[in-house]
Amino acid sequence: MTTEALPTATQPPPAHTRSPHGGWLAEFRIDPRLMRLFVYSGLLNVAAVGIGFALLMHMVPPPSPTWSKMQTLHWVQQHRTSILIGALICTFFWCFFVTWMAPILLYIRRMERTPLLTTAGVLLVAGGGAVITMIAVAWTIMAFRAEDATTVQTFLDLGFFLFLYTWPGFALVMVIIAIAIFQNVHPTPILPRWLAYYNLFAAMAMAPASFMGLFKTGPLAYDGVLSFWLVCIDFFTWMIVMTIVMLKAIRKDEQRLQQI
Amino acid sequence: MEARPIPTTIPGPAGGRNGAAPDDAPPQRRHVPGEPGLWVLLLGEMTVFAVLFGVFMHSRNEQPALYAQQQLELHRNFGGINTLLLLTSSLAVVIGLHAIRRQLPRLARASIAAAMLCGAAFLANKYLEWSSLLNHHHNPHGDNFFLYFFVLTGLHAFHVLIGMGVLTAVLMLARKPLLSKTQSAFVEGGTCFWHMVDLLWVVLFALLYLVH
Repeated sequence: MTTEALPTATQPPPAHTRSPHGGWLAEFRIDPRLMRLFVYSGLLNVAAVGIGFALLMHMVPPPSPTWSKMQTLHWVQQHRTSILIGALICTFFWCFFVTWMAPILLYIRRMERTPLLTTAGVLLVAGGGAVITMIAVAWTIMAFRAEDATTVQTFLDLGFFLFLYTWPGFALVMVIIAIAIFQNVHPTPILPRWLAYYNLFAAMAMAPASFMGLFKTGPLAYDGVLSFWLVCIDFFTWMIVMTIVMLKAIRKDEQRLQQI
Repeated sequence: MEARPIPTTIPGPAGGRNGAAPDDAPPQRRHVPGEPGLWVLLLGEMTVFAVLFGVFMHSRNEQPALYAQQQLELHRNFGGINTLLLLTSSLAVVIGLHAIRRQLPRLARASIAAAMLCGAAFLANKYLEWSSLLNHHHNPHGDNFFLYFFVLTGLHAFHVLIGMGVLTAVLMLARKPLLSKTQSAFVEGGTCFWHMVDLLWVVLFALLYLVH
C-alpha cells in the first residue's frame, strides 16, 4: 500500500507562480472596458492642455512675469472671453487626472503586499486632483476681475505657481510607481522595469520648477525653458507614455482572464 | 575592456566557456551594463543636459562680448581641480567594479570609498568656488552668464549628490561576497550613473570655463 497521493487536476500552482495575495487581489478580475475608459480619460486631460490652455487661454508661450501690471491687464482684457472659456474647459477636464490615476494605483496595489505605497499614492493623487482643479480657477478669477490690474497680475501668477510650483506631489507619485515596480512581489511582472527608471527620470526633470520664485527672467522664470517648457513637456509626455503602457497591461490581463 | 559579469548567486545560462554548446545554439547576447531600462534614465538625463547646453550656447551667441568678459571672472583652477577629482573618481569606480567582479572585496570597498571621497571633495570645492563668486557680487541675478553658470553647475551638483547616495549603496553591496542578479545590476547601473555625472561635468567645464 502506498501513501503517495495521486496527481489531480485541482492541484495548486507551483509556489513560484502563486500570487502573494488572497481574495479579490489574487483573482484580480478587472473590467477591461471600464479600466480602458479610465485610462483614456487621461487623454482628455492632455487634450484640454492643447485646446483650453494653449489655444483659448493663449498661455503658450506664457505671458512674461516681467510684464507690468498694466501690460498684463491689457493682455487679459484683450483675450477675456477666450480665457474664460479655456479656463472652464481646463477646470472640467483636468480633474480626469484622478480617474486616469485610479488603474495605475490598482496595479501598484497588486505589486505590493501591505498597501503602503498605495496609501501614499491615493493621498497624493487626491491632493493633486484638488490642486489641478484650482489652477484654472485662479485664471478664471483673473479674467473675471479684468478691471483691477493688481488682482489680474496676482491671479495670473497664482495660476502659474499652482500649475508648476506644485510639482513635488506629482513627482512623488512617479517615485512611488518606480518603487512599486522595483519591489514588485507578484510572480509575473505587471509593469516593465524600464518604466521605473523612466518614472525616476520624469520626476527629476520637474525639479527646476522649484526655483521659479527666485527669477522673473531666464530659464527658471515661469515662462522659461526649464521651469515651463521642460516641466510641461516632461509631465504630459509622461501621461502619454503611462497611458500606452497601462493599455498594454490591461490587454495582458484581459488575455489572462480569458484563459481562466 | 572585457565586460565580465559580476559573480551572482543565480547561475547563468547553460553552455558558455566550459559547457558543450550545440552548434545551432543562439549567439550569446551582448551584456548591457546595469539593465536595459536604466539607460532610459541615463539617456533621458543626458538629453535634458544637451538641451540646456544648447540653450546656453544660444544665449552666448546673443551676447558674445559679455560671456567672454564674465568667463574671465571664473577661476579655472576651481574647474580644473574639480575635473581632475571627477576623472579620478571615475577611475576609482572602474577599479572598484573590476574588484567586485574578481571578488576582491577589500579593494572594491577601498576604491568605491576613494571615489566617494573625490565626490565629497568636488562638492566642497564647488562650495568654495560659489562662495568666492558670491563675495565678488557675481550671483544668478547679475547677468545671463552667471545665471546659466549657477543653474548649470547647481543642477550638476544636485546630480553629484544623488550619485553619492548611489555610491553609498554600491559600497554597502561591495561588502557581500556574492550578489543577487538584481544587486549586481544595481552595482553596474550605479557606476554607470557616476560616469554620466563625470561626463556631464567634462562638457560643462569645457563650455563654461574654456570655450571662447
